[in-house]
Amino acid sequence: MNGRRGERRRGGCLALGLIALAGWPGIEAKGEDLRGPEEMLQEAAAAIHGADFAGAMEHYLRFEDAFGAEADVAEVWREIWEARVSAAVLSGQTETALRWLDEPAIAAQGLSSRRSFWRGAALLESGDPAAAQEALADAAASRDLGTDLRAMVLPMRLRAACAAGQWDIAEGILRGLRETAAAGPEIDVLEWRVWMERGDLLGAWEFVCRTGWPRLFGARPSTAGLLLQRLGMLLYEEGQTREAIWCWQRVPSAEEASGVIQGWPREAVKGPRDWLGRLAERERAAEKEALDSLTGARSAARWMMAQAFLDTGRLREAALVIEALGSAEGDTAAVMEYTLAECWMGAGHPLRALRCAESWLERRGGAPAEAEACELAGRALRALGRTAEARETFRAVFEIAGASALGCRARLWEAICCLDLEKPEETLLLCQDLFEDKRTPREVAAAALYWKGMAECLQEWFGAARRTMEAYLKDWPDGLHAGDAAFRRAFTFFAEMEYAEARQAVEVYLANHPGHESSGEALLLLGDTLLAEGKLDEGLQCYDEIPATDSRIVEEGIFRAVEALRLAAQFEPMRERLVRFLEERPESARLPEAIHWMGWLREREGDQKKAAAAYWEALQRFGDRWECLAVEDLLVALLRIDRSADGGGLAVRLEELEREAENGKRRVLFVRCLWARALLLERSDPGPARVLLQRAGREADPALQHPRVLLDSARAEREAGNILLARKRAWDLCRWHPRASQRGEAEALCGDLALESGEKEKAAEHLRRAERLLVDPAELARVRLLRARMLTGDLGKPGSAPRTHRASADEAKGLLEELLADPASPASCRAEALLVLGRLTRASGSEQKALAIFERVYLLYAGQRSIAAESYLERARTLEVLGKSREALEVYQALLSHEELQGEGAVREARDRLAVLKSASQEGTP
Amino acid sequence: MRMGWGLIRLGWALAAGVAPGLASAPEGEDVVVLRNGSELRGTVKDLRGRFLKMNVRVGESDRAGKIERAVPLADVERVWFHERLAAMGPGDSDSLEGFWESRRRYLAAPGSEAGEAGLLLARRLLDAKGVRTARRAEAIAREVSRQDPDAKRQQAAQCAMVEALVQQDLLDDAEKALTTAVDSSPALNASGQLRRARSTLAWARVLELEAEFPRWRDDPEVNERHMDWVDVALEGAIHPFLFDPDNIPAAAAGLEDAVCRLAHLGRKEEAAVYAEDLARLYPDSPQAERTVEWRGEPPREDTNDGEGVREERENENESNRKGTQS
Repeated sequence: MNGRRGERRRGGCLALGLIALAGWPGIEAKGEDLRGPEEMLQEAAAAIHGADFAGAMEHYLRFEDAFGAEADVAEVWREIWEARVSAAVLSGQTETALRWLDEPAIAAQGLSSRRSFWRGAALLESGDPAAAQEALADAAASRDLGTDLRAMVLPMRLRAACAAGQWDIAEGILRGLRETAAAGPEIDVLEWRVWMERGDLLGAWEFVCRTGWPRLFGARPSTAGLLLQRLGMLLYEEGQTREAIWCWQRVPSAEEASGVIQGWPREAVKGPRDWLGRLAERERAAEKEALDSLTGARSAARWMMAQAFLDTGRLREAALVIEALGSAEGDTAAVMEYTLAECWMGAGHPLRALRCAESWLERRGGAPAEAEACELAGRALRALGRTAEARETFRAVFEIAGASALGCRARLWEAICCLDLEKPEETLLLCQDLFEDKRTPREVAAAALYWKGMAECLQEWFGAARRTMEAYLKDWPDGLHAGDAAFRRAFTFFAEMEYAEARQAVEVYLANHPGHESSGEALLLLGDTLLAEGKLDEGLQCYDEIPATDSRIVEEGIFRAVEALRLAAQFEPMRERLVRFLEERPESARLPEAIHWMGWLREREGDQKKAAAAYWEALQRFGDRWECLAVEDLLVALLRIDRSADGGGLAVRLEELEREAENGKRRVLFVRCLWARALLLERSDPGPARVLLQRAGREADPALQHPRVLLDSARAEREAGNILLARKRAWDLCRWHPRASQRGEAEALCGDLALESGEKEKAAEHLRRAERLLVDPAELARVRLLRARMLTGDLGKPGSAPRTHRASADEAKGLLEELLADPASPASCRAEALLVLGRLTRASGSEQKALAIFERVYLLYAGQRSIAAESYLERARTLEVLGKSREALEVYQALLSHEELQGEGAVREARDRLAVLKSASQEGTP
Repeated sequence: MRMGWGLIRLGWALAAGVAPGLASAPEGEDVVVLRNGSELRGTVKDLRGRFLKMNVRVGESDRAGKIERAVPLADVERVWFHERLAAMGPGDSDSLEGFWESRRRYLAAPGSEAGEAGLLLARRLLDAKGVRTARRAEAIAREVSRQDPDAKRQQAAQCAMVEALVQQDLLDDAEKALTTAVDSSPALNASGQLRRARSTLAWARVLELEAEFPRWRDDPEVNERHMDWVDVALEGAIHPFLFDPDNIPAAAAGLEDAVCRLAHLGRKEEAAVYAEDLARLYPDSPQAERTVEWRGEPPREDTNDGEGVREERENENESNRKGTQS
């Protein structure tokens, strides 16, 4: 055995030398149990070549074990030190690597920089990054490191520094790296970490932006994802919300990261000395392992994003982010949905909030937070104006939550809903209960007491209300409602005509609550109180002191002062105030009132001409100012005076003014003059009046002209048969004056015109709006009737039978019932409504009821001849349908017996039917 | 023809991405791979009908000649056009036009990139925001949506069509196109393109409503409708910023839309928030520069006084003029 080994040894020395010289040539090893040293080293070299470092180490260790002590292989063993050390490091046998590096023979060989490099690599591998960093620094400092290792040393140092937490060193290395060569994206991730670890969060964020998130994510998906999440948290803590959101927006899901990893090309390590490649491979493997940490990271980041938006008051964004989170499970889902509802509520979307709350309740009815969701639904309902439902919901909350803080709050909401529903007596009881219940939280009890006082006020129980408000002020002098309570207290004194106390109470209120929202009203109240006490000058002064911030209250003060002066017969100061009002507030909606009082002053002096002169003067002054909506009223007053004075001069003066206005391009005044002249001619000469109105409509700027002018011109166009123009004028009124009192009439006119043009859908839309807006009961009744007829398809043709869907029939029935319930509806409309209702009832299969309705029509509205005749006929027809020919015959005869109905079309049909019935009865008679 | 396309569709679908084996094709030549494995190099002349017609290179290098050949489409495995869309510069509109015009004949062939070119061109035309350009964009988008076999491109084309119709003030048509798009593919609802189209349409509706009802604030019913449209318009605008933040052009454009829309509505505080988003998160975008005036703008009360009415009138006249032009 020994001889064989000796042979091999002798033959092997040359081969070993060759191996050492050639580095790692491609030597094919032949596996034999008993191998010589050269074979062992050949096999190790081959293993290294195939990147099987553990295999190589096996050969090296066996070699060391067998021949390590022998002098003739020492040279070769020393020569291949770098190969075996790198194999040891790369196979994770770092202790062996370090031991070999300490071999005296290697140390004596020199090449300290390369040894330092491998020592650093071994130390980094063995988990001592600080020592590794030192060794690698030594290697880097040397000039003889060699280009192969120099390319690797800085990235390795950076990794070691990062692992050791040596951030300053890492920063220096990074500078070096950037100077020497373009760093890869892995280095970018390390640099990002350095920015973060050094506490420069904004710098880190800017670095990510600069580098580009996709590059970082593509290089180290898991690490980058987790770093981004952490950066977001840190930035958020620093108050950099936008930047934090930026980070959270991009936190990837584990699936996305996994996708990137799977997409990586299978990049082989370039060679056994490609330590960086090995390291990168290992880091990539670590990325795979870290994927689990990213599970749920995106959802968490989104949730934090929503929180950040919430905290900064950006509720819409918060809601959208929560919505996008999609499905969650368990408590998280419940919290999410509830927060979503809160967000929508806060963002001014009660309907969306309600939907969320309802969905919550539907899915989690009975869950612990049910009451909260219910309360939110109640608030949303109240915001949507569905007060009755809101009240019921709040009641349900109280039933669930009992006397808890939430339950009490819901009870208070319920009480406020009752007040909205004009049920102060119920508010009173609820608030009383709440206040007396010791479990009620203090702030809710305070509010309950205040609202109880308000309910008492509305009930006109002023004494009780005052005592309640005083109790509130005693216990909560700085409470949320303290100002209102103090004002209400003063008001109760006034309401009970205790003027001295009222004055004192107002003064206390004004002193204790300066700048309170009711200060203006309080001054009005004080003025009223002083006047009631006969202190005119003080009262007037009080009105004058009303702050100019609320012009409505200021104007009210002026007119109260005017009224007081009128009652005190101080006409000159009254006139002065009115003149001042006209000067200072020409755009006021109360201008006509002022002009009326000016005219009244003149008329009181017995001079209508002077009154007219005052109006005329105002007309000339304000006539071209479109914002003085009262000028039209002024013109009407002038017309009245002109008519009563049997004048006629007004027409001439108006014509002159119209000409002046036209020449002076005072368009608004010009149109007003046209309109006034039309009104003047309306009765005596309707044709020219209509022409004037048509011209007024053409010349008018719908945005600036009074809606009355537009409406009159629309009607004039309709009379002239210009349907399209009429519609345009009426529609202009609706567009430009949506709050005008004439809007309802304009909508009705639009509806009529649309119906005439056969546009039923548009007509229905206009009429629906008209019904909502109309004030005139006769017009309202007409519109309701028309709508009912449209819904039933019964457009007034004699004998027409309604054909309609049940929903439309119900709506029509509702409209007709509303019409009939309104005592102001004119008789003609009521009669017709009853007739249509009868037909509807018959169509629904209730013939007996219909018979009673038809009978009611001709009994109650005999004066409405055509309708009465029609109702006789309908009753008879119904009887025929029921097979009651004899009764039908009687009804036909009754219709024919009414002389006043003989001119109606229904009579002819009645006569025909009567003949038929008679002949039938004769034929049937035996 | 349809049958022919059906047979070779799969091949083309593969060729639409990369053709690694053909990377060595000489520049300026189209490559047709036949089912039998052989390749023809030259210039594809026509793909319509039952035959593929091409000028085929014969011979090598300087002695090469060309003959015209017609190959039955059924024999064609895939086509690799030499001119690639990706090779074009981002601002190269003329080349894009040329590309589209030369390739639109082959729109139904997935490997032709005609659909992509059409969509790119349509987007550029839409960005120009003119009625004429919008009309052209609509025509291109319509063509792509009808002929391109790729479902995603069809959907993108439908969305572009909606935007083009909105730009032409044909809102009812846009509404119909949108409904058709969603009906044909309910999944489209979640796409960014559809959100953008819907948002654009909603904002157009807002403006239409305001022109129709200049005092919309005074009419609760109109106000409610106005609010609904505004919500859709705003939420669509900020959607890319919230959920597709790395699509910087879309996110920044959406934020700018939000700023302008809110500024138009007088909600200057909210506009300032989005302007600040732009400045902080997309500082290099042109939108950030354009919205600089809205940053930190103190809220101003929106008064509806005489001046307001005059402005309203002017706005209405302006919109009427626009309507007449369109």
